[in-house]
Amino acid sequence: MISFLGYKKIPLDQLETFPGNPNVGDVPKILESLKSNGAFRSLIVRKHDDRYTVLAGNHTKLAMVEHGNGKCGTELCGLCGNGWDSKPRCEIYECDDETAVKVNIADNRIPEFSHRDDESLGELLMGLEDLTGTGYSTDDLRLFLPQEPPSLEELSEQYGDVADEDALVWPVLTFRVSPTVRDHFLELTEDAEDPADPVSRFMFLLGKASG
Amino acid sequence: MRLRVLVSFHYHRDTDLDAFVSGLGGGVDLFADSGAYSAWSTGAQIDVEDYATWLHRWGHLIGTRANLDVIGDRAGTARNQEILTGHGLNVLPVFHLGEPFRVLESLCEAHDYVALGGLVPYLAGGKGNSNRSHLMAWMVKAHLIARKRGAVLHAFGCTGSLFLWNLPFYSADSSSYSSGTRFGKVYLWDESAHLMRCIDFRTNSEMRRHAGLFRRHGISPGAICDPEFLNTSNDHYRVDRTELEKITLTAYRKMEQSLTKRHCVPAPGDAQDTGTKIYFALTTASPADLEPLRRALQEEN
Repeated sequence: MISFLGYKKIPLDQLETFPGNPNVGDVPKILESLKSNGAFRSLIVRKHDDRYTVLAGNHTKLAMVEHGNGKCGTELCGLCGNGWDSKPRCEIYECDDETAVKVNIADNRIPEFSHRDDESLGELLMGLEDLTGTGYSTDDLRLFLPQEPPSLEELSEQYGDVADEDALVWPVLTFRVSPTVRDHFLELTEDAEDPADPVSRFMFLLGKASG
Repeated sequence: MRLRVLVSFHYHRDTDLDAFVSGLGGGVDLFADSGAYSAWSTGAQIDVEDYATWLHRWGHLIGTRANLDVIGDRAGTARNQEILTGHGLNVLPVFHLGEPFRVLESLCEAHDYVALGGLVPYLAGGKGNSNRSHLMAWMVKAHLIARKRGAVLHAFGCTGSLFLWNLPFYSADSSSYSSGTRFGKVYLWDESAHLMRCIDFRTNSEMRRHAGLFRRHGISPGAICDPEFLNTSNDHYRVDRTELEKITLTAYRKMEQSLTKRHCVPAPGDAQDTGTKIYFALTTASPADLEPLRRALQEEN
């Protein structure tokens, strides 16, 4: 179990990323969010032997490093426009090595158990004037728009009209056979008109069977 | 949401349907059909009078009943419709692939609910089946004809996402839920992609990719990845089989919810519930076959 020691602002160069962190985050996306929304979450940091290791928020730390010290030039940047001093706010904890690994894994694993309600997400996204910082683009938004079924007329245009004389569709025969039966089939039908075509082989076999 | 089951006379002529329905906790939406295609493909004959007697016997349970169609004999099918109607049975007429569309036109003029049949032999092979777009064109035309006459359609033996996601069928049925045990596959409804995914549960990479889907269907993907899962030589084979079928049943229930929300097909005549409704076609009614249904219902409630 971990014990909470307190909040502290720690310089980026004193924060170590978690060794062997299995999660591979999207640093540019996180940086975009930081610039748009600011740092809305503390880094989760373990204090041990006067060192600070990030247990959760490793890619946020990397995005902050990517941002760099001072002004980035982005108008109304949520980070440097908001008193950025290259010292992210950290929640400091104390724990043993095994717990540190578990926290790092659980932080990435637990969200995998949740799933997204596309309808609710679509409603939220559509209520925003600007999607920057959400991780979604306007292209993504199209995926969440409520979609009416296509009209029968549209489908008819797409798939074409069917006349009575075209309404007969050829059946499909699908079955599995043992390798021995397959080899026997190929052997018996090697003189088929087009041996590359299984239908030609099958018709050849039917011809043989019916004499 | 009610459990919907399709029972065929061909398979269930000796089944005690009272016990069957009560064994599932009652309140089952039962669709009865003759099983003519299955009978025909095994060389069996179905007598229309026997079928009428069976429909009457279980009439208090049956919500929807279909005509006894005669494969390849339109006149014979029409004769059976008359005989069954003469017995006071309001049976769903069946229009077959390959019949002239004027037959469907006249059926839709006389009935507000018509079944499309004869599709099963043409549906095999999934996306690789070049018949799919042709079948789609045929179904679109059938819907245009039905809509013009205020009728809705049932698809016999067809629950393919391409057809059901795009077309406003009132109902459909399938026995696909039980195929996992035969082919090492499991069906999961992917609501985001609007399709029924068929997943090879012996392939770990497939399982990892769809792990979230498995969890949403109420099962741990890790349990299914176990090489001992569904091993016929194990004591728990039966339990595993039930679990697998339960997952697929859950998937079809989820699919029905999505389809109903999308199409909102009003119930025709005295039928109940908004469509698209999905019926599970049961070929037997043994305790082992009913258990997955029971389990799926329990978890839903």
